[in-house]
Amino acid sequence: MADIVKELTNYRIKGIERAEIEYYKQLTQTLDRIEAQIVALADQQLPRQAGKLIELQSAIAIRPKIKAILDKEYLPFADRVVRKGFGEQAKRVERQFKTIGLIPPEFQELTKGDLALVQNLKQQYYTQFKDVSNNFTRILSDKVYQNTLVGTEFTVLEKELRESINGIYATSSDPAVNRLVDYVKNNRDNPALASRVDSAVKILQSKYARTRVGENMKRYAGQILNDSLRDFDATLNFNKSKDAGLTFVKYYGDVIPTTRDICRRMVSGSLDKRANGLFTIEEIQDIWASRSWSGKKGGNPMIVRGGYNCRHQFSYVNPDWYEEDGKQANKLKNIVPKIKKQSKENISSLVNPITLTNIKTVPKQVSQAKITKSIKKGFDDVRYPRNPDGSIKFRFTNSDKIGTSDISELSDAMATKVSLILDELNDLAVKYDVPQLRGIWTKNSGAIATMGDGVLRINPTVLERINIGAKRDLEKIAFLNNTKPKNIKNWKFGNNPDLRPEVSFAYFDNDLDQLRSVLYHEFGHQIHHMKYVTKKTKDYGISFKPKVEQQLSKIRKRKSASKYGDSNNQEWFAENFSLYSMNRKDLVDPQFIKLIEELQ
Amino acid sequence: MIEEARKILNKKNINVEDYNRFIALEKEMKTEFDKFQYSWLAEGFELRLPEIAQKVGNYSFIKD
Repeated sequence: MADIVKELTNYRIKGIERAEIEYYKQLTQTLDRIEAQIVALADQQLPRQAGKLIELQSAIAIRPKIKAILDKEYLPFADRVVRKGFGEQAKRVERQFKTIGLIPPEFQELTKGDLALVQNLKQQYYTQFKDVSNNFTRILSDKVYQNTLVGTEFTVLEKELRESINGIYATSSDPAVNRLVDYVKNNRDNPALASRVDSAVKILQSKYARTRVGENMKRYAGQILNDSLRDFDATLNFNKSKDAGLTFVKYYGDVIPTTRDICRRMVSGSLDKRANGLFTIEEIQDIWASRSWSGKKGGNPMIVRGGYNCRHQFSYVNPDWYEEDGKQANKLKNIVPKIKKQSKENISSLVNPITLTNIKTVPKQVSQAKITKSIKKGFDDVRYPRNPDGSIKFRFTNSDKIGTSDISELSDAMATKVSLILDELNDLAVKYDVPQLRGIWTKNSGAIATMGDGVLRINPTVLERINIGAKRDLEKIAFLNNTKPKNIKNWKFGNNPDLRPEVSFAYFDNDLDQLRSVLYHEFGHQIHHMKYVTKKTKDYGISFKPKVEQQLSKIRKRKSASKYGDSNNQEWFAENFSLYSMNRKDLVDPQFIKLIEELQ
Repeated sequence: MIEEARKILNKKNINVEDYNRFIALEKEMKTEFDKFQYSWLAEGFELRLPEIAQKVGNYSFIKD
């Protein structure tokens, strides 16, 4: 029986996460428009002599126009967040109370007092958004004035204005930099892409020596956006529960690598005060008061929780809803959720790869459109070498498939899976700084899949039966060695190498993970093929030996958790890469770990 | 047959004859599982085709 309070809390949390992603996208678009309009305004309104700013009067006159742009573009965004975003979250909070029931009916719905609170909170956070606008009207106007006062070049002012708004690295003539900048700009604060964004920032900082400008409008507005929805949910929930007389709490949310220790311990139960895992509000206040941690926010712990960007929430409960050991009492067990199940379907990333249960098969045309868009982006990647006349250089056969995205031979289900795993492969491309794929096609014979020149070929006939094939692989090896299939699947370094599966995908349980393993394996080949290759790589062709492959040929005493990985150094790389990327580092050769971490 | 395909894949140097034999082997695979095993050996073999193309000078040896 599902834990109903946990399920409902996750429903609230996922609602916030979806709203954040949507509004962050809107914020990015809004600030891009503001940046373009303000730079154009400055360009039109500020007289120059030999490129230098000269007229203070114009610099002063520009201020109300800057304000007008911010009012026109930014305030409607802020209004949408508090009006629509908060309104929808209030409904989710109400649904939780109504679904559980078990409290006086008058408190199950939003009361007049709740609605007044919602209105106040909307006003309070709208004011915070507006303060950012006012502050940046002043900052931008001051920049215009100061630069005009000292007569700097217009280009210097332009750079400062752009940085003050978006805070992302100055425009560059290097497409590799711009690609990463765009990526950071569009996905920063998208929790699902956090590690991918971090990788992009690291590359910008280490490889291109670019730094993010600290004081900028996007940073402040983004922070308010992040915390306002979560704090709003916590405040409304706290007040409603207080009215309903619920004084015990449970703490919920995902644990990810960046989860703070306090949240991790609260979720895992290591700070529990009683066997049923409930805390009183006073106990929470004591725990919070006796500890300090990075990012901790002042204020009521029931509202601020773990602090800035905290993804966790409290839910308020009654002790008689639980048995002594924390299991749900019958009164909770009998509740049938009335909420519309929040869809977690069809979003995948390297950090949060989709699971089999969350996949919703969509018509092939939907997957085809998604794949085509991705392939087009890969095709346009300037790192793929071309001849001076623009024609494509190729090293492998089937170069005519470059730019193709043909999945017509796949079933709807397989196409859905491939399109979702492709999102993960695109994350891997950023992580390892190689171009994303520029071709996908199918063939019902030959190899299970192949990779070359950034083109992936897949064999639908084989992949549709991958689960059966993996099972047979384990059974065959077990039979030949007079042991059980589970001993093959549980093979580890130090065991008899004859007992290894033939291929690494046999270590995984379901056809999605097995397909993922195959496609990650293929992407491993993309890495040793394309890492360090640029449009300037002159000798790219059939005789080309990439730098990583040169490194590979020097590695001795390679270890592989599959027999196929013993075939040659490239398959050793791809098999280890697949296991490494699917978090089976226990099955990865330490030499590979050292190598791949150098390539990140 | 699978062992023969594996031997070809594991050879240090491969040539057009190896390619022709490897391709022919697919048709000789009798069971679904043999075809399945062949499919991943073929994955590795296709990746080595540039080695043959270097000797031939192009991909004209490819049969499709």
